[in-house]
Amino acid sequence: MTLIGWLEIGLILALVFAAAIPLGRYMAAVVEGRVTWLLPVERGFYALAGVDPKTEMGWRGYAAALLVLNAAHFLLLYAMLRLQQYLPFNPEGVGPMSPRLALNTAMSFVTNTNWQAYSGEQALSYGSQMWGLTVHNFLSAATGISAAVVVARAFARGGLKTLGNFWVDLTRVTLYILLPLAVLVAIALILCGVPQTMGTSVEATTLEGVKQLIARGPVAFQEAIKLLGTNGGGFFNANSAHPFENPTALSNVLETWCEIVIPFGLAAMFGHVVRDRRQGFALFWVMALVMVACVVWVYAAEAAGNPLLTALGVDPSMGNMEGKEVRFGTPLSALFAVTTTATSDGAVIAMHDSFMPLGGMVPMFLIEVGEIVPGGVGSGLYGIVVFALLSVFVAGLMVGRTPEYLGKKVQAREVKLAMLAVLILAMCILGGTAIAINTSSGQGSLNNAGPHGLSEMLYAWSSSTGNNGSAFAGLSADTPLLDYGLAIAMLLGRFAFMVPVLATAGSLAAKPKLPPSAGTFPTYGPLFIGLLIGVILIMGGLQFLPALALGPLAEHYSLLAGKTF
Amino acid sequence: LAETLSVLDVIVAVAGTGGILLMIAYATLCDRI
Repeated sequence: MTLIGWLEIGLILALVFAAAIPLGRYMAAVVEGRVTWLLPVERGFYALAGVDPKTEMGWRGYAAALLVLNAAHFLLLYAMLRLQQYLPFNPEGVGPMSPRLALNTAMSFVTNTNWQAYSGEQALSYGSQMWGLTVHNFLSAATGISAAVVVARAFARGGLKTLGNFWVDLTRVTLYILLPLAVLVAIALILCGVPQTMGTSVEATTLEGVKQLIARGPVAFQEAIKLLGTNGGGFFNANSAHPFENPTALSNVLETWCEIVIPFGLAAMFGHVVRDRRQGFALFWVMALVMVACVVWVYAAEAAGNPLLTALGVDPSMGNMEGKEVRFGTPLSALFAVTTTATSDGAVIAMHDSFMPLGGMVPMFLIEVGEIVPGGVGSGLYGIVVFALLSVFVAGLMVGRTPEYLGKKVQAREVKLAMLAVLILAMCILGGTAIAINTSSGQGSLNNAGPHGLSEMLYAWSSSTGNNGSAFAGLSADTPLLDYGLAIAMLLGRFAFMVPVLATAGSLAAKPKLPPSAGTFPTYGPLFIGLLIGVILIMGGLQFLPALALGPLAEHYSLLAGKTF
Repeated sequence: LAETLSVLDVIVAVAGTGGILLMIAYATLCDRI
């Protein structure tokens, strides 16, 4: 580890934290209807869609609207991917995706996962990239933020059965938050050298005299929302490691900033919406402390290098550089690996499959605990609120009082719904991995034997269920088992988690808001922050430590004994 | 179109769309908890 490495990491995190707090205040104003600079456009959409913005929905109506819209968009995207050869903006004449790959890809982008079992520059037309994937990057991000807004409103309201209007939240989040930020970031990326062109591939002659086709396309705008919306699906197969997606040191700072600024901002927004900023900062601190600890862990693991290569006389001063861009090195690769898995982004600037076993374990663990520190846009906030409810429940058990969170009594129903949401993730990740690893098809997808092979499969199911989308890239993912199986995991990981959260919001909104009393457990101080971190780590450990012991931990100790896989 | 689309498309499209819509039934179950 070097001082320059720490300064690089520190600078990026400082830029994020400095921007997230005012952004949170702005987002609160947006979701409370106080921002109106695009009101004519907004009203135009409502008129076009026949939406009455003043009509509020209960949680079931809100969930139904959200699910119907996403189902319709799945169908639309599936049709686009299957029929792209007939659609405009296909200058390279790309053919249709296979039905099972189109299913996997459509589910992936509708659920904010962006798992890519294909190579973007070869399998997709420009039209599919723009109207298919980029549009769904906005839609899935706005869906997640809308669900998080509902959870925040549930604590702000007392004795009400309504939580807002899904169509209004979706429109306002897209118009006032995602679109302006994405346009600004896309312009900045173009200035950094990211292409935004409808021109076809260009032919270049290499120094050896070989002809090479260099793919390009409308990259910058997709890149911007890919990161801001914690989507992660790259225009190119190499994702943000590709010099056309992430050409300079400055673009890398911007891309890392984009991944985490909205999730941290949403924690600050939470405090504004519930009218107690300390509550938002408590969640903010939990997110920041766990994420920074993970950055330190991964940087330390990668900077130490591979002891087997060091024993052969390789200079270890640059750390483990397999699978990393020399221009980014170990510190920025470690930071990006954490920010992309602490959120549900899944973009990569280095190959996680090539990380040291202990370095690769942390991204996997961050996804498995639910990507809540700071988490995906929206999903991170409502995910950490689920853990906050469980934390006050645990605290209530310890002192024998009915737990409360933000003036709402947390009773059996909320705890059952929270546990349902949490257990769905574990069931998909561990169950899916166990089934896949025991089939000949699953074993045939692995690129490595032993514990590293298990890690590849475990990471795939964790990434899909957690709607992350990054991969231990050795896995051959375009097989019937993984295309269909991971599509189911993405669906359940997104909506089977979100629906109980919305049900919890409905239940909490209907309860009266109680004033704090002398016996109220303060949920903004260091004690609560420590408790919440403990609950997150203990629940994650209880569920996933056995699997991690068989994968990355076993690989680490095998490596120390001189054995690789 | 007939050369591109097949019965598998119908099955896959219905399964994916139906899978998301099935979550509405799941929401009804959550309501009973």
